[in-house]
Amino acid sequence: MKSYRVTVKVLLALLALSAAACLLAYAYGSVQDMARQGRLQRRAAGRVQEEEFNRLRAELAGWEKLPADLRQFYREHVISMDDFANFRRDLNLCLDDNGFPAPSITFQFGKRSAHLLKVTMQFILKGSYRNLKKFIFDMEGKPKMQFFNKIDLSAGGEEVTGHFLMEAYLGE
Amino acid sequence: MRKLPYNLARVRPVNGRAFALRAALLALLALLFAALAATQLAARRSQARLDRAAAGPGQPQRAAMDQETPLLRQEIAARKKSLGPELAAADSLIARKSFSFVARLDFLEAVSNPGVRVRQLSLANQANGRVVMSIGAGTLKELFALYKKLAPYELVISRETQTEGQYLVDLSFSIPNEKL
Repeated sequence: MKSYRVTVKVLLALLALSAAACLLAYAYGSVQDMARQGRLQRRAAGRVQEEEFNRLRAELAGWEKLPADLRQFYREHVISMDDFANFRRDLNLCLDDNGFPAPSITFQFGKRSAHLLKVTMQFILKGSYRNLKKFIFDMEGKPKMQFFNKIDLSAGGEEVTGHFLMEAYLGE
Repeated sequence: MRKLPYNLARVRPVNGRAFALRAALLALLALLFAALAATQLAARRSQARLDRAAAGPGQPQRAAMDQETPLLRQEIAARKKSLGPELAAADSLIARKSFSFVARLDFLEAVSNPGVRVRQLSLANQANGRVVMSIGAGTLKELFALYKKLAPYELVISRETQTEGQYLVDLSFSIPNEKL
């Protein structure tokens, strides 16, 4: 009989002990959770700050690289003074190839700004729509900084008259 | 007559099986609580380990970033000021160079019906790609077919004149690069 009692007491003690341990473990978990929330908030703020810092560094790197990129852009795409003669030869050749021999072209030189000199060209071409379109296509395909600013086409009979306003940008 | 025993000191006999069952139940409950506690502690430990692994910048790093961020901003602002106009000019040139008149003529050829004749056409190298033109159409059906095709491109009909056998219209529409 006594052994039964001892067994019951031991088992009850064990049960109480394990229940207390379980409660303590959950209480400890709750405290840890609260502390973790604070840590996570601080960490999130740190991450945002780190991302912003990295973004600024990347932006600055881009700006540091920009002068070299601009130099390359000017070298490859802006017409130099030496190239301007070539450009005019190209334009005349392109006109000639499309059946518009030696039209009168007015060149106007603007003021230099941001290292660029704007040259405006005006001319009138008369011919078939096909030839005019081919001429526009050929000039648009040139890699340097020359482009049409405005084109007015008017149809009259079999011919189309085109008023062209073109711009070219010359570098230093 | 049956004799009733009234011996209070007598120990009641214990049913061995029932006792074993109850004892096992108690032991199981104790084990369950212990297992729950152990699981909870293990989960906390693994969470803490994960948190340590995913730690963000430390306090010294954050202090260094706090110090360096305003300097970076100043440097960027200075470079923007000195290189900004040149960059804007280059961007504007690139945007204007990418404007295609031929693509717009192709578009016009695609939307025009055989019965529609373009009399005048004006194209300017601008971001909105506004095309102004005067057209003549032989029938209303052809004219409205063209209107329908140009409707998604901010079509503005300025004037329409109906003469004998012909409809003369001044209209404009926008076709930016993205829509080509």
